[in-house]
Amino acid sequence: MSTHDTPHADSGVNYLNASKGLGNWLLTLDHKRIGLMYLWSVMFFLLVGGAFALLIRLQLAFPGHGFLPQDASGKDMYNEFFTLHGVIMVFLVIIPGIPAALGNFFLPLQLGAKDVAFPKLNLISFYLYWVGAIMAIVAIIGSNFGWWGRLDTGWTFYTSYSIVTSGPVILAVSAAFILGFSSIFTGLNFVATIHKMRCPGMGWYRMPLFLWAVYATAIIQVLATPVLGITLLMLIMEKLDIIHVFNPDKGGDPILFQHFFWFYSHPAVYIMILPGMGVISEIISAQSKKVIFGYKAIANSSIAIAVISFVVWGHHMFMSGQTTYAGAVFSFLTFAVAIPTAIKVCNWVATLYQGSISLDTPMLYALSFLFLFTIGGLTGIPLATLSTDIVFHDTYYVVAHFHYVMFGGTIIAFFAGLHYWWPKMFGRMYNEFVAKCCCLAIFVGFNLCFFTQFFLGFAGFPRRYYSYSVDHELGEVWRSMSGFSSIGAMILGVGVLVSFVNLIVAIYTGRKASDNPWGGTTLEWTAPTPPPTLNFDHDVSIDRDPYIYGKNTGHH
Amino acid sequence: MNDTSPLTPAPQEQATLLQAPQASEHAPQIDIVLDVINWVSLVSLILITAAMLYFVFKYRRKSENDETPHISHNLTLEVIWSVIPMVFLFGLFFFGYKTYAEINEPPANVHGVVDIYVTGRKWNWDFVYPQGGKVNSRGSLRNEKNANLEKIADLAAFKASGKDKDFTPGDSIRLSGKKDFTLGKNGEWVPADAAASAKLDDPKNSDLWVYAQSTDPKSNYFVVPVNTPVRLHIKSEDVLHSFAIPSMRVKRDAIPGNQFRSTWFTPVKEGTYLYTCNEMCGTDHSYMIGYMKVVSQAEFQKFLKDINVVDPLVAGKDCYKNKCSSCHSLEEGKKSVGPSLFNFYGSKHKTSAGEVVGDDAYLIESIKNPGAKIAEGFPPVMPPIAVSDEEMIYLKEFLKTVK
Repeated sequence: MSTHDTPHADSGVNYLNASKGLGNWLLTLDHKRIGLMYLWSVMFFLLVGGAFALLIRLQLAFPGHGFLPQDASGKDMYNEFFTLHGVIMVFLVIIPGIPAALGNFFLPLQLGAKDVAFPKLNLISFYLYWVGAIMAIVAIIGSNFGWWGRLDTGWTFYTSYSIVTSGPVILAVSAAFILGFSSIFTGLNFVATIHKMRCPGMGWYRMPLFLWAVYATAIIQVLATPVLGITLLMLIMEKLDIIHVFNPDKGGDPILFQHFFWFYSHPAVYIMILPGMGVISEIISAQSKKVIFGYKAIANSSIAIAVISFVVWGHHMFMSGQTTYAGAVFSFLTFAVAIPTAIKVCNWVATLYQGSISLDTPMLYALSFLFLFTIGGLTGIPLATLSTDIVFHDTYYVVAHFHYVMFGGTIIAFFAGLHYWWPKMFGRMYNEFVAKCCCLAIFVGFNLCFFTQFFLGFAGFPRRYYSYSVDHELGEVWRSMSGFSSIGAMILGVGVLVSFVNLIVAIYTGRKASDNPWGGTTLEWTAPTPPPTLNFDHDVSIDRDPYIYGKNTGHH
Repeated sequence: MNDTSPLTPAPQEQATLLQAPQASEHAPQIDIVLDVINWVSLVSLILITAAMLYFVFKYRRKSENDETPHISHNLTLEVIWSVIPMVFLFGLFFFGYKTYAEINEPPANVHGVVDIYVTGRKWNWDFVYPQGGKVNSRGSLRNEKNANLEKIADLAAFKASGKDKDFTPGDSIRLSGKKDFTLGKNGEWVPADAAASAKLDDPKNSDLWVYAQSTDPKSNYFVVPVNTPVRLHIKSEDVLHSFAIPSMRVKRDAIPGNQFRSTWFTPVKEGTYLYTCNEMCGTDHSYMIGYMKVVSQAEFQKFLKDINVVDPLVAGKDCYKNKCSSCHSLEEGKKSVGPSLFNFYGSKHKTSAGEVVGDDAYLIESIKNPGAKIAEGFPPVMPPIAVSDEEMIYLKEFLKTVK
């Protein structure tokens, strides 16, 4: 079957205008509409979480007291800011971001399927997402009305502080519990869809790499998230005084919570990054017009990462007094997970070799990803090394490291994916010049904001500080780097906001997009633009590899 | 301010962008591993970025009809870029582990070692010296003559400080000038009676002498001698904290429960160094900071004398008398309700959970959670006993002498 420019009847009916009315949207079973509803939600919460981040940087721009009240209320408010920033970004933005929004939209399209395996379950996932989101919002609003204290535990809900705080921990934890189910259902759905609904001819190794990444992600979601659920339930029962597992005053062990929590949350880090890696594989291949280098290595390394990620959780507890032996085991395993990641980066760079490289916006984001994610990966090494972790544990170095992975990796990949697939989703092109300017602003702002935080880490700046003095041997670094970091955050904020505006404006005023603006060879580009409700106007089958740009196309 | 010891800090180096001062013996050991990681990382990053930019420039799209070669994989290349990082990473693992193992487990007996018991609570740290004496990160040296804080002068200032909320009816406090007050049933502070004042005279109750928080953070310090191994035994009274001294490359979580968790270091440069709390613990997390002064051995001895308000052996014996003696004798083999505490430390004890060696952890567990290990031949009748961390430390010092 040919791939480019498949002729189709331009009937003008697509998933966007197939039926009208709010009810039709809210009760839709179309994976594309559900994906789109997820997308708006994720973009909305990205702005909300980002606003909290800007407030944090504003508070820390200068030494001494920032703009917040200088009494307990101001400090608690600050603690609420970073907690909500973390909770919103992790549970409402990064985890569902690429899989539930872009994945929902493009997984069936790339498989050549009409929908996901369980469309109703898909809609239920979406509503569970919003139930969780609304509970989180109530938790925020309630503290402003004085219904309870401020949510101030940090997104990790560490015991034993979470047991004693007056903040709405039970509500927030219940929200995370419900969001966990949303995540599990999405994962189940995707596993079933990939196993059962690949179009005729699409063997496992003919799947686009985005699907491999989503598949590995879905496996982790299904296997790890229940552990989070149980942990959070235990925390709720601990708070309600029903059982005592974590409270040291009642014979519990607060460190046990960290083990349970990270048994989920470290694999969850890969839930967050793997889909991003999938997006980057797609874009680098398409924008270089070149078959991806080392397809099987990339596909299998996703699975390897998923498996090893389950046995590295203890590296979050190197300073908690766990035995040296346990520390050594977890350090070793953590190094092991770095290797498949390094392999992926090398493969992406090698794909560029002798390609035909365009520098459209998606590619600019993909190249930023390569640079930023590489920094994110390399700066993980001193945290995995037992002795050097003493220097950086619970300092801003950790903050910088995971933002290089979570923002420099996942969010940049999300932006890359948005700009790559937007024409297919809406049939419109965005303003390329504005998009490139935003990409540059985000790149510059991000590095200024977070590279400086590595230096803060070298100088021991602790995480989650509401204010800081500079009257000590580390003070000058604290002062200068905090200031630069805050400037970077503001630039980053503007970049994100304008790029969203640019994308949304394109839906109304952008020029019409062709079916395949980037010359991609995966199946979604053979669908009409925007796709009709059932995705394709013909039966789809495939007899080739997903990437067929080379002179010697096809089989190997 | 402090009127007894000069404790003047030597001129000291400042942090650079890539390094806090290397003020402990093991700091260079950690930093050398860090330097290797940073250099190799930088070279890797430059190689990857340079290759990427070179390819992007060299192979940029010339026309929409560009043809590209079909290069699906290259086994040699893939083996090279898998094996090189693997060798490098596992090498790093080994060196990281080696240093960590040395720091993580303090040696049992080092000549002249200084022990300090660090207890975190919301939101300050106690530093108890087993020689007898305590400093607190809020700046109050334990005895009045060395208090480097302004005592609060009147009730209005006391209430403005917000500290009045820490007290319940019946509690007495002492303000500056020996003005004593008791909190009445209706929440009003009334002048204290003679009995309450007498009680407040006892230095042991100096926690009730109410100080304003120092405005000069440099007055909040604890002191260690230079070129001497220091063992920190760290614990929390309430929630998780984490005690860190960046310039010493020291960090350890403070965990509530029965166990002090230890780490150690040898300061090599005199000076004043920041310590911080690194685990989120609530409202004043960012104020759980203070300074560690590294001074000469002579100045350290003088400091110990200044803060010494209790003889640890006397205080330990008092604690034993008040809280243990009704059920435990100190004579060899003399059974009472419970076993004798003669020769508790270092000898083996048969218990319901097998044989254990008498050490700090077993002592603390037996006091706070007596049901965990029942001494053989005795009924499980002991209730948990309220013993503060400070009393516990003196009790330990005392029991070590009973042999």
